Amino acid sequence: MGKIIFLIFSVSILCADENPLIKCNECHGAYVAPPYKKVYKHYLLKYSSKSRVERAMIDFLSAPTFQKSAMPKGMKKRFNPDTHLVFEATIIKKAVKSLIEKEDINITLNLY
Amino acid sequence: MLLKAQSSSLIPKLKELHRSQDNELIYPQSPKYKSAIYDIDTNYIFGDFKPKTLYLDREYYQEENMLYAVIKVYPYYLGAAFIVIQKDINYEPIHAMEARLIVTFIIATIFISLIAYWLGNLFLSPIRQSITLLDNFIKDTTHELNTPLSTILANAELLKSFHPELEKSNELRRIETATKRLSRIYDDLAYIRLNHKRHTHVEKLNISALLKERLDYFDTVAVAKQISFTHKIDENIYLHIDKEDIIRIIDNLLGNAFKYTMIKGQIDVTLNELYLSIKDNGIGINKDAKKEVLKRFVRDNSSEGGFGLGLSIVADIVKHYNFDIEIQSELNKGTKVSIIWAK
Repeated sequence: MGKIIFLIFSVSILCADENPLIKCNECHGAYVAPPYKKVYKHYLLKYSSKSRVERAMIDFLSAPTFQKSAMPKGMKKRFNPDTHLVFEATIIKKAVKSLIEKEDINITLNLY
Repeated sequence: MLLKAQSSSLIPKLKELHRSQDNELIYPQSPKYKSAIYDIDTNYIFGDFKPKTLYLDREYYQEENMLYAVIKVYPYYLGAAFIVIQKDINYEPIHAMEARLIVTFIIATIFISLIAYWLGNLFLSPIRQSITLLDNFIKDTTHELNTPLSTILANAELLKSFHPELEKSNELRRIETATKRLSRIYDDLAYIRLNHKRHTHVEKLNISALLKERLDYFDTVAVAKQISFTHKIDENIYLHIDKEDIIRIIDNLLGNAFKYTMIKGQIDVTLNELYLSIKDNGIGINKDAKKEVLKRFVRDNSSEGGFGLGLSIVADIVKHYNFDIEIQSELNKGTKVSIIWAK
């Protein structure tokens, strides 16, 4: 019985979708890089719409440079965006979409 | 501008929210207006209303009873590139202003009218005085002239009847001619003075007979100036007209013809069912003056005296009966005046 349960558990883990941000969490979740909320808000301040934010983020993550990053100068000097890790395009795209969904302003805004 | 001023605190509040780390952000609302935020791609982000129509390229626009203001935002706090403010249009101040404008306009109109009336009176006063003086003069003159003229004419007739030998006297003829001329001037002045009593007794008159009567009246003058006086008068020409009016026409036209024709001149009178015309070979009228001579107190030639009343009286009567007056004239060749009643 135990073997059956272990088998089912292993298969379900193997089949489950990975969190798109799992690789990002290693730095952004551990304060090696700015938190997601801050990143998103800075990109929002510069690019306004979600679609433009997405394009800009993907563009940066595909070939990170100091100039391309939308973060403030102080933060860029501290975290050095030139050294940002580069991942596969599909991973970048999924991660960016997931970040935007997670940090969407509409979720937090309310009328009282 | 007022709408934008009222919503000026909105951007700092958005900035505050953008910087906030709270998991829940309360959107800033105002009792004076409603607002909504849009990103740069005109996507609705959030707000306490959602406009039915959107014109983000305009600063202000109106839809029904709502006024909208569009404020551009940069940097894009919360991603907002545009803030749209909505406010009800309050028509009360507009109606109040309309009422004030109408009242001001009415007061201004009354005031200007009073000023215009006062100024008009001020400027017209000298003219009015002149007209009054002239009217009084004419009134006094006609009053004063009447009795002496009647006396002279009556006594001239008496002289002729008591002393037949004086019939051919040149002196008596001159007295008669001059007196008759004075009498015609008196008649013209009286005609003008009795303005309200003109054209009152319109009747069917035999113009042929009346014309012959008036021609006899001018015989003396014709003899004195040795003027050849011919007439072609159709019989039984009738008109519906006041007797005084037709006498004024005949006497004035004949009077002018005799006045402005030289000694041994020629005057022709024609009467038919269409018109009356009096033609002379006298001094004529200036081409430019032909229309002017029909006006009161206007004379083309002042050498023979007179007040310039005759033709103006004729023109007045012609206008009243809807006749036509035609003046053909050439300087030093003569004048033909026609009164046309048939159209």
